[in-house]
Amino acid sequence: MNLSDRDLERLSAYLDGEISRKDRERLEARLLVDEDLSTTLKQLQRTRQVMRSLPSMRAPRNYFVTAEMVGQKETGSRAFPILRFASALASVLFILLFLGDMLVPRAALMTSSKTIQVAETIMEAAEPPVTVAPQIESQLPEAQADQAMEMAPVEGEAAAPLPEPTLDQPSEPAAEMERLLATGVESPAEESEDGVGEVVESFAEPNLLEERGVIDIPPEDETRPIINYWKIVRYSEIFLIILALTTGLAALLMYRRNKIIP
Amino acid sequence: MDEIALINDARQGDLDAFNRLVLAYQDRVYSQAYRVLSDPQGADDATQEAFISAYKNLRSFRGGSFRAWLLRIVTNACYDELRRRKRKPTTSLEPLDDSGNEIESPHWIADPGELPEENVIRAELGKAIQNCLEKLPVDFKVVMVLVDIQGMDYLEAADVVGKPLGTVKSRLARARGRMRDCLQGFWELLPMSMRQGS
Repeated sequence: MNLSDRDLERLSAYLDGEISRKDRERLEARLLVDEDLSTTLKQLQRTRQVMRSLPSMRAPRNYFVTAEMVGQKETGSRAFPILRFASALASVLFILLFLGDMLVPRAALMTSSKTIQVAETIMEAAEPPVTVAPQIESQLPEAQADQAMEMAPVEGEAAAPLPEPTLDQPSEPAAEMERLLATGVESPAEESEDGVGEVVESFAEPNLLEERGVIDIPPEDETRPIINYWKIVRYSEIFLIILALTTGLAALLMYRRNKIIP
Repeated sequence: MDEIALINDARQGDLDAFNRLVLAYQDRVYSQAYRVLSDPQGADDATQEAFISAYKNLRSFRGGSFRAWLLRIVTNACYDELRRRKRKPTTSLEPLDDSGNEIESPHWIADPGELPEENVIRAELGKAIQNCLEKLPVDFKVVMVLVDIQGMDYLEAADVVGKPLGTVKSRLARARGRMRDCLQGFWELLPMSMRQGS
């Protein structure tokens, strides 16, 4: 069989129907008379049939592409353990805090805190007449104090000795101070030149006294430490539960997104 | 499976979508690599490499046949592998027969419904075909596998190999002629339906 490459090509294309109509008619006419050509066509047909009869192959494994293979940034997979840990930690802390909150007798603490608060208020109310007077005295300028001492015998013409100041009966200056305090704004504090009016004005306004260090008024927050403690606990619980839920949800979404198809 | 949607998702970086495409095409891609390289390990490497390359270059896919596009990539991977082998020849770990050819495992052509005798004959025929394929020049082999095994038409095959239609016709005809010559001694292995007319 001496067939040219051109004839082989025509026969091959004829088998696949990839030949022009003109070439096909010409080839079919030759096949009727050329036995070699006809035999070659049958052999090629059989070869083609054998090749096409080969069963399809199955891949020995799955060729999934991972982020690592393609050099994709694995931000998700790197963040996943962090998120998971954060979620677990926040959950544990929340549970501990919640259990602690439930176990501690909160009502008793609340009652004691109120008692303390009331007691402190009473004490504050009782203290000023006793503690402020000497402080005011110390606030007076030394010269003015001396002047007051000199004036005292002149004013007291009866020359009677001054009674000892007692707690039950306030001394005259103290009584005067109380009177001024009671009259409040009516006292001519601004017009006073001996400084007493200024001190009285300071006494009438606790903030000024506090600023000058005369008295120490504790801030309102310090009077309620336990209430504030429970507020912190509440806020912490809310923060922890939100943190646990958001990080847990993010970790779950990340896991589902990066999961390889089974 | 909505192939276009999966391709678009994969282009956006969705590996899950791409891996669904891998599942759909891995048998064909592996088959192409195995028939061209005649080596399971080389075919395995070429297939994995082809899918990685496909994912990385997914933006260059301009529509048309995704199968043809994938087969072009794996064919190029096979050419690369063959060039590598030329530079660094290796010794196969597969056992060799008397003529020095590898004795491959014909598990892939086993049909569980066949009788043992038919199974053996089919295995022998499969081995004979693979041996004959191996002897073909790689350019002929690639075209023959694309048309006669993958079932592509000439245009698709021309697209895969990146050659004109006439070149594909010519290569295929020569490959078939050589295969016919090579398989002369194995015709008795053919089923009766194929022997008729010879």
